[in-house]
Amino acid sequence: MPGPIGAFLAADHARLDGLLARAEAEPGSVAAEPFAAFRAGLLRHIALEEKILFPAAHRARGGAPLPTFRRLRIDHGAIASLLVPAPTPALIAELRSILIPHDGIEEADGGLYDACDALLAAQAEQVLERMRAYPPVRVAPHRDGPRVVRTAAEALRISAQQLAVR
Amino acid sequence: MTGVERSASPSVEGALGAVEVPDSARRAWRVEVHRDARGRWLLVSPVRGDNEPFRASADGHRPGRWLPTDADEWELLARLCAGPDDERLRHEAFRVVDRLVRAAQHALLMGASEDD
Repeated sequence: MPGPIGAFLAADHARLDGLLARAEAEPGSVAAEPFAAFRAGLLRHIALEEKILFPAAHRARGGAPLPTFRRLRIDHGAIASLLVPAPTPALIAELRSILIPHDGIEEADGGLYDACDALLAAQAEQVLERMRAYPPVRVAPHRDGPRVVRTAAEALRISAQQLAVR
Repeated sequence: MTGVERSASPSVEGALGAVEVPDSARRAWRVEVHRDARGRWLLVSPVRGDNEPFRASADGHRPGRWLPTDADEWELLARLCAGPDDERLRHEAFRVVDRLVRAAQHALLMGASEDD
């Protein structure tokens, strides 16, 4: 049975899946309003994990990160960079190629969410309260310059490089 | 039931369409029918209120996290999305969605009771 933290974050995945599907309801185009809600929601979801979940799990393990943290952080950086340009169906396909396996790592039996629910069982309600209270993230306008990343492979490569430098 | 949003064909990839289906508590649920790298699956979201959305897989995807449905139920909802409106399909969809909603709410309650 999934724990409360995983259930909360998986329900957020479901909500985001729905927004992205609505953004693509008309083949060949991207509906602005649901995509904007998806983009803001996904960036907030990443913030919940990076600013609340990962640090709490890290502390609960005595400062040792979970083995999947690095991969997930690279994915988060890549996802954020693919949310910079104005969306197209091709860009959404690139995003999905990261999001589907990423969500799988998190939601799998024995995956990140199960691990965090086990580690944070004694403080699950406090973690959930912080997540629920987390404000909407500030979202910058889209940019479409020549240096903007548009493929998952490039976004993942750059994100991995940036994480290695930190 | 209202809200057929897009012509759906069960052989197509992506979001195949959506319909609104009530449950036995007269709450309306938006059911989206999907097929992608995760197989055949449904996304069920409340039309109003603060119930949590949930997903159900006809291909055993993430069995601990997503609810199980089966190929016949998935096909039924895909056909309903594709229309035309059909009273028998509506009735069957009601039974499927009501069962899924009950299962989702049971899972939430069980998760909550484990925390206590």
